[in-house]
Amino acid sequence: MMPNELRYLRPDSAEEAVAVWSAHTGARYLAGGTEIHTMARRSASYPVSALIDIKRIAEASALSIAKGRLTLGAALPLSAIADDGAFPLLTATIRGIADRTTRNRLSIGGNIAGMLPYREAILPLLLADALCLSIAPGSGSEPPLRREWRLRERFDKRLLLDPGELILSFSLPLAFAALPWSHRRRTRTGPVDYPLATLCLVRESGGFLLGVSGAHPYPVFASGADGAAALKALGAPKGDQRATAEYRAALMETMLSSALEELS
Amino acid sequence: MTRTSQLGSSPERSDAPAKTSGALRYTDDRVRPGTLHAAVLYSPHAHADIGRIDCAAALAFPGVRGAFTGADWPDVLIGLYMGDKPPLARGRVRYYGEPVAVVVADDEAAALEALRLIRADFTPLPALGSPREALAPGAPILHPDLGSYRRIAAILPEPGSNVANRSRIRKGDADAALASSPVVVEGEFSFPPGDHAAMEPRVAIAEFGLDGRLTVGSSTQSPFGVRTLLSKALGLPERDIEVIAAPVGGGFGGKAGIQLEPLACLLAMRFPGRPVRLANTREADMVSSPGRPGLQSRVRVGATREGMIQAMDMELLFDSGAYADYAVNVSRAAAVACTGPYNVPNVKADTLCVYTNHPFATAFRGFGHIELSYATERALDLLAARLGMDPLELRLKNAARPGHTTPTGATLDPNTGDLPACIARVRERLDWDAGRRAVLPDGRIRAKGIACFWKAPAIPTFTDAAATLSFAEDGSAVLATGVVELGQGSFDGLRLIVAEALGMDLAMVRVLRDADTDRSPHDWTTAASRSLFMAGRAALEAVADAVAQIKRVASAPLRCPEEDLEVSGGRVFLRDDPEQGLPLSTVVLGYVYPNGNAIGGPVIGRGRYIARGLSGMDPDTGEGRPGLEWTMGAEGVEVELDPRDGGFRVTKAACAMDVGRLIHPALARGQVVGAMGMGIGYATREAFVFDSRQGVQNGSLRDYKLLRYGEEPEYFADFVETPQGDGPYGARGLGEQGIIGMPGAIAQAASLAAGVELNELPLTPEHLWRAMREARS
Amino acid sequence: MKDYAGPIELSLRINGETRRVQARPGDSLLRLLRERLGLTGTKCGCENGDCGACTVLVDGAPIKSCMALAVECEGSDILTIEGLRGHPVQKAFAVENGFQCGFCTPGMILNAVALLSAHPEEDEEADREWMQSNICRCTGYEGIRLALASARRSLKD
Repeated sequence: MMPNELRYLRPDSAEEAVAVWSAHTGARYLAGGTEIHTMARRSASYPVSALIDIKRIAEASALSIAKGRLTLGAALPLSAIADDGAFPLLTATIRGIADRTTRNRLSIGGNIAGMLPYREAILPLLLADALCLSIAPGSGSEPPLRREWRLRERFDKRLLLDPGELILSFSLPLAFAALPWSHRRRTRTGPVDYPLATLCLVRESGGFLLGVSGAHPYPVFASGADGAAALKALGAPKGDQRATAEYRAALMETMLSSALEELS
Repeated sequence: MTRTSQLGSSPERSDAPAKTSGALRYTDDRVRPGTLHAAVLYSPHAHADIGRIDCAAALAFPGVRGAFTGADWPDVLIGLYMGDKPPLARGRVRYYGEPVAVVVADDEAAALEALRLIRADFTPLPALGSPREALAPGAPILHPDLGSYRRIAAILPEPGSNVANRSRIRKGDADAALASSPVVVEGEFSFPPGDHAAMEPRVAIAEFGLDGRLTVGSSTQSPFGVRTLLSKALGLPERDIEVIAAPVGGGFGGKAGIQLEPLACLLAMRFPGRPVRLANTREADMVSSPGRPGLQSRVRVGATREGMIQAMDMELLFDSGAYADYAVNVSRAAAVACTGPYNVPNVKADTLCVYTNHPFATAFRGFGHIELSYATERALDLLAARLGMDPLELRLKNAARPGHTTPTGATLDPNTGDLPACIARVRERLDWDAGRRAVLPDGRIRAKGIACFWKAPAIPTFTDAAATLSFAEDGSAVLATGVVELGQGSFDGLRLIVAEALGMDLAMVRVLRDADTDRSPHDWTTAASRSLFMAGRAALEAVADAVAQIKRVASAPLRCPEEDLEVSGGRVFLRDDPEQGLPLSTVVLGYVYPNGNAIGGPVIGRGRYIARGLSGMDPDTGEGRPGLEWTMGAEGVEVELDPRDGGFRVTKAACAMDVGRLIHPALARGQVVGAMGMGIGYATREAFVFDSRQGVQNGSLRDYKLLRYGEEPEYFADFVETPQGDGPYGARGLGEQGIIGMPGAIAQAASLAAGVELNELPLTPEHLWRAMREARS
Repeated sequence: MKDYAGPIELSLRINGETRRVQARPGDSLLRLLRERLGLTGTKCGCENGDCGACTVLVDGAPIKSCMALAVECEGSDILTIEGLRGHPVQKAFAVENGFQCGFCTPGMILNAVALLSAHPEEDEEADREWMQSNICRCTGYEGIRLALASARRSLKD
């Protein structure tokens, strides 16, 4: 429940969505809403005056394969993507996030662009050098600006979006989805928890691509001729209430060696 | 007309249709239109002086009817055994999450919005983070008024310190026996406090009627206890208070005391004629309402070289948090059973309930026994290691048997369960003799552990139960007791007992669902695993009383002496000529002759029970008989550990318990299996994580992890049946016991797997990894 | 485009009936069901998406109704425990003691109904993936596991 006075807006097109965003100060885009509900309950410093529901914008909710590329609408719930299974590493990564019935709501765009530091679903997309289609309000009387960009180019600790910019979809070459991959995920105890470390490993011709979430304050990725080099490039992990830095470091080494074993 | 017994069969639960269809209404499913909603401001500090609290902006918010602080009730103190807690903090807060102010509004959204407008100033004080810190010289005294609090005589606080209760056991001469024991081991064992995490958050809905009567619907295990304590706290006589306990969505002891009710009632008294709903959020339920105690302990055990225990010297420090609540009696109960189910001729024990700046603690499944068991079982593991003896053999050798005495000097009577038989069952289930430790081909290590437990209800000497049995036109019987349905299934046990005693089809017996202090017969509290035993005894007496009345009425139309009659199969008939008889439907509301004359009237059976032969404890030695019946058993686990990263899971869990007589095997198994599952969580993950100022960092289900589907082990639950002479059909309590031995058994198995003694909980993978690494270096 | 502010009237399809109901845009589906429609079989265990007690089916998919706004469900088919009459999964939970206190049970049953419809054949991995969404504090999950197996059998017959 959001106890405050709230406006609910449900545009039918992307252009309408960004226009509505411009017209309402303090508005947020709503897809799955799982983070918005939690934040609204917990934090007085998370005011939401209006929610713009993007789930009925067709291009944000489509999953398609065309011209050798897989396109995933940003408002798609994680379960829909995992059950489709076109990108097995993404499927495995998604199945670690929250729990099944939460994933029936939680959107891939929300997981990637939300406030929590984990954003595990971004790892396979970063490794795949995915493209992102977004729309942003035009300045002044300019029309909204659509653009497609490399996810890696605007990812620095988190996704760097402009005010009011809405992600509509991600796309990646299907050929990448066919590369050998491995996924490992460890939590403090049980299965439904934030990760101490989530590790995505892909072997390509030149060596390995490695992405890690949970171990650092933000998702990180690197490439290397071998796995150890990639791991080293990621830098030292963090310590927090869930685990110390040294445990995370030890965990990542065992996770990586078992992932490498799987790929050998 | 012989009938086969239904005892020992497992009919479907009587509440299954209501619980699987969503029809069952718990307390918060009964909100009337026009109800006011309260929202509480909780302390962000574990210990602080409260400065100014400004509610003006909150009061001005649309829909708000009032805003209150501790100053609104300057004299009210609430407590279970000792009145030490104000309904809202006054002057200072003593734990993170303590209620500081409350807003009452027409709807919950308005109350929550207004709450954000309250400005409260705090000046933080140093916070006490463990019993040992609280006992150290120079520690801040959290309750300077400890000496003046109202309390019951059995609780022994030490004013001027942070000791809310000290119970002493002095049996034999432990010092001398330890000095002369050839083998002595000593260890320290500890774990932080945690939470019950019942799925239903606590709620109280109170209405101060325009007729001057106070009505409270509450998710409580203790409607009569709440009535008494409300009467004391509010100055209203019991006759003007009605407490209604709908079925509760899980209790585990957490709802056995008095909790949200006093504040809800104080608020209701400000708004006569309008119900006030005070409902916990999950976060408040975990942190602001009480949880379970933490423990710091030290145990010394002396034994012969053959492994016969000579003496134990122990100190159990219970972390009670900011208020005493049930924890003072938890520490006392731990003293009563401190050695665990072993024959220990010399015992010296001090069990203390210590105030700290943690969330306060109340009863929790096992009531002090899970804590004492963890300490003694770990100490026995040290002893077994020192002796080079199998830990199972050590326990078998020292198992308590009839004729032995408990730590309080009470003799175990012939009703005592058969612990060696329980140990034997666990030994078999876990294939113990095939080896306790093995390295698997993939490098993981499999290991086994065993622990034993005992528990007697820690109850007042005058603990009671009562029952009435009435009948409907169709001849069906209705049992009313004051027992609360928590999921434990007592109602179905009672239903079987009544059906058995009446010789009636189960479908013809109902047990009334709500416990209501205006309508239900008196019952102490639904706690201490004593409902089946005590209410069962009362139900048997009610049946006997009703049967006597039925015979008296039927003897006239059947023209025979009452003693020639028998009641069974829904009829009353001549024992020697069963064809001659009447259906109960023609008797239970009075018999009507063909000419219209009527005799008898509605049959109402009455039954009572009160604990037998209990006494208090000597304040210096603990001598006395405070425990009613002892339920004993053994538990074992098999675990798998990945030594590379500490990854750890319990793969098998076995419990064998002497329950006297199995009344409803499926429900008994459900209690034991559920308790083992909870025990696995307790040992492996469930504990509060505190920051350096004793704020709780994991006070939500997002961060406080409970066992999930698929994490459970393979369960084995076995029952030994040594009849309890005074129990209903020989039965004794079994609801809590399955959790008690789990932490000890799991710690033993994990220690064996890791190759290092693990003396602290929870046993998270990182904890294991760190211990193994330290042991190597 | 839909634009809702202030008190609104929603029309929702719940348990096969169209219900018109007053709401605020900020009302969660959970609160609306419980507080405005009297459908209290849906339980509030944490209101934070962690426990699963509030699980309902929206267009056949189990979701946590505390994490969805009621207005988002316009045009969808909502199934609560009250709409599930005499389903084999309910019977299985009763027979196999898949519950004790019963508070998690409506959410657990609805999730299981959707699970068994998506995975009619025995599938331990799917069972785990789906059922880990709901916490039961009483049973240690043994009875729930047995209930799933038993419901699968009876749904096949």
